[in-house]
Amino acid sequence: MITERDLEAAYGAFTRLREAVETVIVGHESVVRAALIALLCRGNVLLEGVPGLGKTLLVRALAGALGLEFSRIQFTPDLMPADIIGTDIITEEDGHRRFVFSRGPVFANVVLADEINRATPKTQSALLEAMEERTVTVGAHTYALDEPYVVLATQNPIEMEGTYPLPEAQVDRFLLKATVAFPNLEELVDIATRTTEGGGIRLPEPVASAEDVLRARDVVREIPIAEGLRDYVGRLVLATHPGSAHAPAKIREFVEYGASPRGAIAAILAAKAHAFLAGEVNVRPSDIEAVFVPALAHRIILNFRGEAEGIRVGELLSDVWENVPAL
Amino acid sequence: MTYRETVAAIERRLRRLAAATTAGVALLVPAAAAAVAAVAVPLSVVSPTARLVVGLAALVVPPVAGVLGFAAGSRRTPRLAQALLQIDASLELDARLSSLHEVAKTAPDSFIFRRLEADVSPHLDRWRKALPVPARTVAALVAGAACVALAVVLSAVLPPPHATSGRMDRVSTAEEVRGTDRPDETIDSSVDGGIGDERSSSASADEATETDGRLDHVLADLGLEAAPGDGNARAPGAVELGVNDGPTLDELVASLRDRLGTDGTDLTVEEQSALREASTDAPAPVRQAIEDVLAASSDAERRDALDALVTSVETPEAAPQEETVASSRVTTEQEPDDETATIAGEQLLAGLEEESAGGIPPALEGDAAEDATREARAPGAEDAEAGDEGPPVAAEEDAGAPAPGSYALERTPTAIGDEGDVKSYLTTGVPLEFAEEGRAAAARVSYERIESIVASRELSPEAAQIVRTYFEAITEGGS
Repeated sequence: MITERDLEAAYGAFTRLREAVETVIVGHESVVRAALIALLCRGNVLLEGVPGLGKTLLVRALAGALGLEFSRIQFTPDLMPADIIGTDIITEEDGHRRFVFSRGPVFANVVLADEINRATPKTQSALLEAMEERTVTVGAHTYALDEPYVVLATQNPIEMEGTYPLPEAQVDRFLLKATVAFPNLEELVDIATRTTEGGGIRLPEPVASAEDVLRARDVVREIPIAEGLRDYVGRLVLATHPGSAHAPAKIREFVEYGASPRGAIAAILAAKAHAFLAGEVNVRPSDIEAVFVPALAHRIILNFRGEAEGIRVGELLSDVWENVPAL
Repeated sequence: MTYRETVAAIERRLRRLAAATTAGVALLVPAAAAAVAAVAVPLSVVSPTARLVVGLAALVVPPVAGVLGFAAGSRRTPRLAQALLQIDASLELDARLSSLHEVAKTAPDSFIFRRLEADVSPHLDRWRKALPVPARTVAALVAGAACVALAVVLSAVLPPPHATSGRMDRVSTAEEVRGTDRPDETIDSSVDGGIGDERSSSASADEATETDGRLDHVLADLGLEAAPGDGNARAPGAVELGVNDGPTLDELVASLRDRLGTDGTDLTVEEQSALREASTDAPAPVRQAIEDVLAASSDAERRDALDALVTSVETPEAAPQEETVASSRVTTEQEPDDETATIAGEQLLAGLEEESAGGIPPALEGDAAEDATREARAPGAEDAEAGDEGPPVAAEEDAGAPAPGSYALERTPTAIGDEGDVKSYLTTGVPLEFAEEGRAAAARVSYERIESIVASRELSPEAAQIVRTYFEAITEGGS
């Protein structure tokens, strides 16, 4: 059972972490919050946005503020799984040759999988075990990844030529999907100023430790969510299925498959983390509202008509939110 | 108020609300059905007993169902989680109360519980406003109570079917009289008093009663005038005009005298049987005379016995006039002829003329005589449009209100010339018309009125044909 002191310590650590990241990243509060939520919930985040919006900088700033190991993998069509997870290589030591596992970039605390949809599905799938199980299996050996571990993957929504959309199984393993929007004028000017003046952007010093993150994870799991709200989340998830009696008309019309049970789990966990980051000790309806779209958007698969008509999943989820009453 | 006390109070209120909602539905459904029945029953042909049942059911069943619904509803597990969320939303507590309830189940000693309780406590006094009685529950309860009241009031106020309460009451009373022995409360029984239990033990009389009863039911179902009382107590004219009536004892005796006077042979088996059958309904003196006839061993003795029988039949003290006529029916296959009917009718007319002139037949002295007099006048009283000519007959004697349980007598306001109140001798409800004023025998069945009656009742073709046949039969072909 956590104590009030644990809560205060965890909350203080993450407040410092957020402030440190925000010294580097201009705007993108929702994206920063999504990354922190993923860290708190032992999840991963899919960042979607055009190049040059600071996605990589965000991940590096987060890793720097936590004092954790950071790795970046640039996904390309010729990237192989061994390039990610590592491979056994022959080494000679004291006149004896033997195989030694050479760890790939997936062995870090914070992993940036840049433009993940440019690699082949085979390579993309190499991340599955690491993201879900926090382990990597090579040959007969399984290697555990160090906690905290978080994968932040990016994908470019515009350049679809030569890309490989992520398999549904892999998409489902991302706790949240955050859209990195283009900054407004004020933010753009601020970015330019920070980048072009003085010594440029400097990554933050560590303000929290891995232990702080692990303790905060325990605190988050203790945050209560009312039975009525759990029921509400369940109804929301069910309403994303076109066959559900609660599904709005647009869902029935444009959706092929609705959110999986992982969606409900992600929504509840993310709502807890959101409440924690807000300094609350219980999940509020507003917490669910804040994480509803990020937790479910990437789990909705449009049908042909939805794809053809360019339906935005966010709009469908807004429709679900409006049509499913909390009470 | 602490959190736990509040949750307990919320739970109690939820149970009461659920119970009230269930009770509302349980009350409304039977109450609505009772209200519909209370409206529908007066529009249909049912007995007052059915209306009474509807009224009682409307008074008893919905409240009982409501109480049972309340009991069942209070046993249902309340949806506390939803209610707490509703209170949270109403009091803007950001789901703290709901979360507090959740923590109380899992970690009541945690600091989260204490913090949430501290946040929620100042607002707990206002939780009731978040759980008002649902409008649909109030509506169901009010509507149910209104339906009950409506059903009870309608059952008590609305007139019986076809707005002819008197007619229905008479039919109903006649049914009750048939089913029960209350000889001193009704005209039927007062008339019956002249012949006592002998009549009720008579098979032929029972058959006649049953037949006439069925006909009365048919008439009542058609909304026509039914003869008050049962078949045996119907008006004398109706007896004589009955299609299935056999020859009277007078006719039988007259035919026996004629035959014995010519051939002098012994009584045939059929004649003996007819006499025995007639004796079952006859008063004691007549029965004795019949037995003498049957027991006579010689032709001379038989003639003497027949003379004595004729005397006993014609003697007024033997039995009241109506009973004599009614009980002297015999059920042979011999068809009554017009002459017999006319003679019988004239005999009864004479009796009534005497009565209207102030005299009372000796056999009808006292209450029985008065009742019988009423009985003789009752049929056709409502058939006012059939003939209003002539002065009312003997209205003064019946001016008093009828005794409880007896029939409300209807006077026939018409008399046809010197013949008197001919309509009194006609089966009530028979659609007749009078071709010539002042001639009683000129009355004949009105086919136009029959068709009008059949059309107005929306009878099936088979039933309509039965009605036509019936009217033709009882008027012996139309006159």
